[in-house]
This record gives sequence, structure tokens and C-alpha cells, in this order.
Amino acid sequence: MASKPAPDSPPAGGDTEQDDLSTLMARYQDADQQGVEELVNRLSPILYRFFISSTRDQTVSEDLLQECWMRIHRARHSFRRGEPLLPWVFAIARHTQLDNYRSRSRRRSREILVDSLPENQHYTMQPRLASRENFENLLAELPESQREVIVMMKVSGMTLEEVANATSSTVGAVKQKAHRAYEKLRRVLMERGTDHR
Amino acid sequence: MLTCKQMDELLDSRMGLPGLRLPEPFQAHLDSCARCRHLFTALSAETPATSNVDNVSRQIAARLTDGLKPVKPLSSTPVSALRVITVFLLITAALLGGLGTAAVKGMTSTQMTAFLLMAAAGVIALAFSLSWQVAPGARHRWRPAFLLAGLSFAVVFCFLFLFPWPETSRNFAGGWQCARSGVALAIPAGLLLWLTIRRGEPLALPTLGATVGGAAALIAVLILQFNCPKHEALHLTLWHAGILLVCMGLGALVGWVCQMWPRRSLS
Repeated sequence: MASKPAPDSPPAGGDTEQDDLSTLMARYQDADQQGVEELVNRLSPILYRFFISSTRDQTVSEDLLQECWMRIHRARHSFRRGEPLLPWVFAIARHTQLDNYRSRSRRRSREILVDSLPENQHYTMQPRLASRENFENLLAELPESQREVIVMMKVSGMTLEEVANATSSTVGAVKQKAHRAYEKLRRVLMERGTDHR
Repeated sequence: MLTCKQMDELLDSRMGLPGLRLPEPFQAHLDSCARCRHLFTALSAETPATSNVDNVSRQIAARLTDGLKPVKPLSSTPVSALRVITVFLLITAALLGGLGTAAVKGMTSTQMTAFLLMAAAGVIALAFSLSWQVAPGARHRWRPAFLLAGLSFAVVFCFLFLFPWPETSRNFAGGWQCARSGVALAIPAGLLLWLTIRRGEPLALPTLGATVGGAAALIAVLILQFNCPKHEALHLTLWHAGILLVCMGLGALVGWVCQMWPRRSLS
């Protein structure tokens, strides 16, 4: 078996980037307004990508993004300085999404009882998004647990260990999910028969 | 020649890097393997920027900065754990001071040493687990579920193998008395422990509840061990160790109810 060549560039989600974000979070804790604005500007796009990859709905994703930031705001004291920020942020984002699923399920069960109209339901794929051959559409082929791992690694550049911390899982379990996702994506891409760009 | 599995390992560490130049062996593999080439192209392509987030980001930033006040960050993990251990010891000392240690004479030095070592290891592990659980995204060196199962197993193992088996199976009512007292001691202990960690932001409340319940039950088991004269394996396993399971279950239930309770939303 061939030995694995040594990497020649830093791993994804580099330490410098993480340090910058941790510093911005510390400034947020110290009530530095500029720090907050910069942090929001840097994290919002990746959080939005995280939400839209599973909801596939712009409005719901924007609502989730706002809710997530409100939670981050309430929980900002619970970030321990010097630790990586992304696992902390994504753990909160993940639970924002989970709570949204829960409340949506509760609401839906009540709606069924009163024969609510189906068009009120969220998370239906919007035509504009459905016609776009993009990263989200590719990820839609994956189960939720595999999709969140790939999004965290791809969009935010988190390492396996950081994803494990954010998802309250183990590195082994995350790795297994990622590798299953790669296999599934290989099959999907081969079926489509074209390079995805 | 590299395998697809080795490409997976590469993707694990470099997926977020667009436009990455690969070392020669990896490039050679991509040239010969269409499956990996398609996957690598898809995952290493730059994800287009999301256009509509800027507006939302500005609104969010405006709301967050409105009346923004500084906050004191959570203490480091060792400090938080030390605080839990201190509270654990203070509660235990206060209860032992009030209720006494009449039954200590009934234990051999081996039983005493093993039991105290097990309790000490348990409280340290529980304290660290609690301090990880109150910080989102913290690295758990041991999973809470494994810890609680391990603690229960250690207590049962300690009782079953270190204490003598009874000659008769009477005293059921006496055992029930121990269990009730134990749970009655554990409930206020659990509340005090929760007050110690309440500043954090736990995300999995049932798990946190079970862990607090486990720590509170450990206090109750310690107190009972020093006060209950029936040092028989069956009695200890059923009525003393049973408190652990009851309190963990109660804690998990309380956590679950709190989690289901609709949270205040600022949005």
C-alpha cells in the first residue's frame, strides 16, 4: 500500500482564522460594537449556508439565522476565551434548527387536527432553488446527519474534531458520516455524469 | 497507486480549501478515477457568496449592538469543575455533620477505601462532564451517557463484590426507608448543584439533568453508606445504588420538560 503523501498546505479551518474569530467573540463579550458587526458579517454567510442546506427555503433560513444570532447573543457569556469559536457557534446553530423542527412538528400536528391548508407548510423546495444546479441541490441527496457534517467541513472549513464537538459526537462517528457522504455523492455525481461546478 | 479511501482522508482535512493544488500522487489518482474526480471537483469548488445575507446581517448587527452590555465569560473548564467539586464536598460535609457517621464502624478498611476511591473518581468525572455540558461545542473527553452508565456500574460492582451477601431476604420495608431518605437528600443536593452550573448554556437539558441527578445521588449514596447499618450486598445494590438510577431518571425527566417548554424568543 502506498504511503500517504504529506500535506503541503494548512488544514481547512486554519488556526489563524479561528484565532481571529475567537478574538472577535471576546470583543463581543466586552461589548465592542465594531467587533459584533464584523463577527456578524463573517459568520452570517456560513450560518445561512448551514440553514439553507437543510431547509432549502430562503425565508425560513433567514428566520433561523436571526433566531440563531439571538441565541448566540443570549449565550455569549458561555464562550470560553481561547477556545475555537466555530464549534460553539455551530452547536448553537444546530440546536436552533432542532428546536425549529420540534416546534414545527408540534404546530403541524395541531394544524392537521384543524385541517389546515397545506400551502402554509414551510420547507417545500422553491422553484427558483429547485432549478438551480448548485451545491445545495447536491447536498439535498444526503441524509440530514451526513449533510450537516459536509456543510460544516466544506462551508466553514471546520476540522473533524471541531465538527464532532459541535455535534456532540465523536471524531470516529463524524468521519464515518463524512465517508458515507462522499460515497453517496460519488454515486450521485456519476449518475449525473458531469463535473459539478 | 492511491486508493479512493485515501482521497477520502484528504477530503477530511482539506475540503474547505477552494483551488487547492494537490500533491502528485493525488493528482494522478484523480486523472485515473472519474468518481473521485467528480467528487473532488464538486467539493473543492468555491461556494458562491450568498447575496441576500448582507441585508439580514446588517439588521442583526443593529439589533445586537442596541444596548449591548459586556458580559463575564464562563470560567475555564478546570475552574468550573473545581467549583462543582467544592459544592459537592460542602453539601456532603454539611449532611454528614448533621446526620453523623454512625455506620462507618461497620465497614472494613478495604470496603471504605474502595468505596471512597470510587466516589472520588465519580465526582471528578461528573464535575468535568457538567462543566463541558454548560459550554456549547466543548470537547467532551467522555460522553455523559457512558459516564453515567460507568458510574452506576462501578457503584453496583463495589457493593456486589465488596460487601457480604445476606443470610435472609427480609427487611424490605427498611430498604424502602433507605431509598426514600436517599432521594429526599438528593433533591436539595441536586438543586444546589444546578445553582452552581446555572450560568452556562446547556443545549441538551435531559442529559444535563441526568448528570446533575447522578451527582446528587452520589451524595445521597455516600451519606447513606455512612449512616445505614445494613452493609449487605443485596440491600446496598437494590436500595442504595437504586437511588442513582431513580435520580438520573428524575433529572433527565426534569431536563426534558424544561427543553419542551417553549423558550423565550427575542426574534
